[in-house]
Amino acid sequence: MAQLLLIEPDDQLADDYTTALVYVGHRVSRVSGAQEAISAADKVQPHLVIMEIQLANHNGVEFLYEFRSYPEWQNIPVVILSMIPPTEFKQATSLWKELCVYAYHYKPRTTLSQLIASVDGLVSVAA
Amino acid sequence: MQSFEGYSPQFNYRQMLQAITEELKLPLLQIARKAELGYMVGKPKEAAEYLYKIEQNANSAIRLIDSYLLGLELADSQQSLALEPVSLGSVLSEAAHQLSPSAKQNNVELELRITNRQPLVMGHAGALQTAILSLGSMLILAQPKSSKRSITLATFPKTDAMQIGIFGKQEAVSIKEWERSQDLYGRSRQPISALSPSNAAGIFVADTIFRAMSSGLNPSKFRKLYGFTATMQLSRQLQLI
Repeated sequence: MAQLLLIEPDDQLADDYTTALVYVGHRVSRVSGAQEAISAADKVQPHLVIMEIQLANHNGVEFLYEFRSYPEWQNIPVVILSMIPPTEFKQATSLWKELCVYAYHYKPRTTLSQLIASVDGLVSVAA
Repeated sequence: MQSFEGYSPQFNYRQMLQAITEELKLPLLQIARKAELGYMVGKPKEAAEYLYKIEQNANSAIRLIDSYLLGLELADSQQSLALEPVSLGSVLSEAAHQLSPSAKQNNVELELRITNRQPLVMGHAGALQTAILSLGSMLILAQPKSSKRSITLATFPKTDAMQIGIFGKQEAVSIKEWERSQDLYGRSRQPISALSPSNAAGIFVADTIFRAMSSGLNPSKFRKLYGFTATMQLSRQLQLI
């Protein structure tokens, strides 16, 4: 089981994602914004990051560039779980590839089970 | 109406509606995930059954909102929809996959009838899928409770075109009803008077989406089933190869 960092600005959804991921055995460190995420990543050394791309006072893509600028976090798998449909990003494939985003899930169409399956798959590959 | 600095009398109600609709997704999503969590970690079987239904209903509402927003976007700007060669078979397979939890919950069998010959058509995969999901959700809920219930998603090859269709046993989806409904555009939430408003609200949305791809929705009959088809032009570029 893995140490996960969840960056989710909505409290209720963060509660549900955390409960579900903990229920299947993961440890979850949960934050609501980009700045806290950097501190939390430093503290817990996550195996995988799950994040919303729409963050208060911060652009999720900018956060990812910053996150990837630290050598020790360059290979940590990142899963985007966002209210923004993936189709809204121009040249998304190359952008996500550049930022080592392993999966993009559109939040309204992603159930907890699907999220768990995605995280479990990535964690087992990364291990 | 009082006018003050910074207030535009040309206030765009449509944009406001669009923004509110977008915002509605979050509470619905919170309901859906909370319900899913409830039946995932909760123990009483009866409660789990109710929670599963709540989740499916919230998911249907989110799908409808997504379809509506896409419909608005397409109606606003034809250029925003970049048509590209699309496989209708893949679109229907993915739509069937997404509709299967709702179908299962409502005891509706899903059938896929995809022809062997699958030339690519000019369309937009995301928009097509949204429209089919919108219609599929509606037909699943509208199936008569008495008989064996099933929904068929199908493709039909035509000369220089392909048809995509979705059918069920609900006779209310008739050509006559559809023609009558055209007069209700913009004045009614849904066109089929014999169906409950919430069930059929997705029809106008799906029609708007198909119109944006140069093909409106048509009520059709397939064997003893009733439903809708849309005709999609073949990708000419690929035909030349």
